[in-house]
Amino acid sequence: MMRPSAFLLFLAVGASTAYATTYSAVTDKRLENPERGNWLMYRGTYDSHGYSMLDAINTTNVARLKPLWTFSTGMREGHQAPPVVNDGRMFITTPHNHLIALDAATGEELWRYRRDLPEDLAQMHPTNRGVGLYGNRVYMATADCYVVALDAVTGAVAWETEVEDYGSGYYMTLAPLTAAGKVLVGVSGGEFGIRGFVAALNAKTGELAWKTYTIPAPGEPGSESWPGDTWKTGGVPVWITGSYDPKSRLTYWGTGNGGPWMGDARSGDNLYATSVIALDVDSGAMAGYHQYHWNDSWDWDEVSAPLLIDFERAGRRIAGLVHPGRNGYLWFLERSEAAIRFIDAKPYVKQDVITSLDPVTGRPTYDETKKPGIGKPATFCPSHWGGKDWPPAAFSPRTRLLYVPANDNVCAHLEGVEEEYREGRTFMGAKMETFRLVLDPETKTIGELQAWHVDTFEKAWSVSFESHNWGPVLATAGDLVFMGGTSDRYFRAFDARSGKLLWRQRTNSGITGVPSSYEVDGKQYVAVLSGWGVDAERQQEALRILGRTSIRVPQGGVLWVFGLD
Amino acid sequence: MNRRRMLAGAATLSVVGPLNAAKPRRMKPQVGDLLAHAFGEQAGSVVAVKDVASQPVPAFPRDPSSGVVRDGSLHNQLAVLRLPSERLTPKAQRHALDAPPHAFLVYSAACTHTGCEVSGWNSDAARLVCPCHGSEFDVADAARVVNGPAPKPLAMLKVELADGAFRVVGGFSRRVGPEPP
Repeated sequence: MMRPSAFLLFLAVGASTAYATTYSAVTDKRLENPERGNWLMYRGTYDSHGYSMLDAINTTNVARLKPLWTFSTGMREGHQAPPVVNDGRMFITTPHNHLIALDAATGEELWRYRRDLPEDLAQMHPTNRGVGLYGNRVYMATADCYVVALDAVTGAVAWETEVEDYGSGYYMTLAPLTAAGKVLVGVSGGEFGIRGFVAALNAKTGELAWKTYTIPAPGEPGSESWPGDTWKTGGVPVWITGSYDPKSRLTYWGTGNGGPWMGDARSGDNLYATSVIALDVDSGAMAGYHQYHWNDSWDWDEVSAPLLIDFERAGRRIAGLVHPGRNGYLWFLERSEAAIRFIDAKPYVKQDVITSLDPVTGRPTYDETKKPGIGKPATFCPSHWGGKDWPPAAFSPRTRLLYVPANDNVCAHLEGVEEEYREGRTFMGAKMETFRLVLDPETKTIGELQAWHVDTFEKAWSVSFESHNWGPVLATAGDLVFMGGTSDRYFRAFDARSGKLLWRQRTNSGITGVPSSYEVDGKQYVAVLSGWGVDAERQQEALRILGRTSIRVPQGGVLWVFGLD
Repeated sequence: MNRRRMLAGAATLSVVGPLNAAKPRRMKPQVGDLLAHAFGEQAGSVVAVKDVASQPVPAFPRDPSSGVVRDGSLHNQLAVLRLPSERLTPKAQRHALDAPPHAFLVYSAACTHTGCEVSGWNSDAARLVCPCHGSEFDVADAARVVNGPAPKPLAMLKVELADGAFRVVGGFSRRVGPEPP
């Protein structure tokens, strides 16, 4: 029985919260063309630009940007989710799968869902990258490999579907992609001997609509690129939200590396590992692919979805896919309904493995001395964390610049070992006891924010940091670029045209959260989760062992919301 | 295996008995359990003292009467190690089985960071290494954290000798796996 005073308080709170009872249903039409004041999905729009059309906060006034409110999640580990906002209602997720609904203007908590995860669930990557919205529901993919659908207003669970068995090493960290009546997810577990796939569930019922494996079964096209039974446990996870082209109804997903890590444990090209794949949203049928590099031996997942950007080459306008690869190359591809075609690529960080690219197909040739194998140690650049790991790049149609959060001049030493497959256990085949980073002592900086012109394929500017960089990027129509990612805990705003630092705010922890921008009642906000963990922390430790840093970044998630007075 | 379905089954059965009675494979190590090989050709067979030499031996507790191996949870997986007695710190000695010139140590294989299986071994430094995030534990010093993000040492399980095998004599020395979020 609710006490009268509590009841009155509840009424008062309800009355002061404009968004407590109304909700704007999220339709395909809205997702295909979101209002500029909303941030309805992982990267804001289906083309994964990470670009906000809002410009009230801009280069002339960003120096006055202030924190307006904060919200402590109460959770440790890597906070990587974007604040997703639909007409004043915000949704964030945390490691261990809490999903929190907030009033996006006031910061008031509306409801909170806590996933009851199994006690013995081993989490190699304790994080979650946010929600998908569709209709009146909000969707989260979980660490025990379920998709949960909740009522966006009440937080009540509408359905939950087990996508795969966590006991076999499957888990999920990505934000679901919602389109065409479906909720699309991919699975993590590349270090646990899984067979990766993308699955689509019916958004209303949670029933499986289709499932497309990233590794072909014997007899299917590409199966000849996997020897023996290696396809069954070959990894190739999908752990970052895909892009979507509603015109062709094709979704574009980046795929992870093959498992175990060493290429000589699974001789062959290993299709469709370290690739971009085009999947039909209705059927899951594969309409094309491009493999960035074959027979990976460096843990270079290419899971970041390509940005859908129309760019110019030699006077021709190309409907393109643009991907700053973990392998250290920046890739420009052409997309069509029938195929994906290589256009050009070049390294954007120190890369000493790839010696050349086939000018027609883009297929790389390797320096075999830089390729580790079983019992064969090798040192290679970039490190297994790549030129850019998962943190997403952004694109501004105003500047025509692609903003890449990079790590340069970091190499790794790695050796492979034989490993027997055991269900649900690590199946990396890498000798982590002897792994180390290798840095040129002359190298003073590691992290970078690079700006590349997509039409001229030239670097316009670059900023460097002493720290490594794990900062997802937000670009805005105010000609600003926002990024955290460094171990000094700053969130920064740069001039999108020059790279000049215009503003910064020190936060509670390091920022690996995806920033977003939105508007409520005509006021623009910029929001980001600060909460260091996962691989940013792991790389910090590897740098600490080398004596490159003494900082231990504190953990604990806090949402920061900024605005002008 | 679908754990949620299994839990639902266990909840129904709990009306007539303790929760764990329904799932002996998931039960924590019990006093009197013997240690059995976790993997490979010898999986399920009792770990003999002579099996433990320079490498950690992965093991699960095994019910001596029913023969059930408690391999239903990573939180039951153990690493059985042998070190020269004189290398142990007093803290490690408290939970070790001392049989000079050797001492035997039994550690939980569930990392205290995010619960991964601590499967790596650095023999030169006598450290257990977690492949997930690189945490390293000094086995001579009660699994003190030497490197990496793990916040706590690994739990130890005290055993005694029983006809050339290892028999559990108590519970874990500390929490197994990570702290709840």
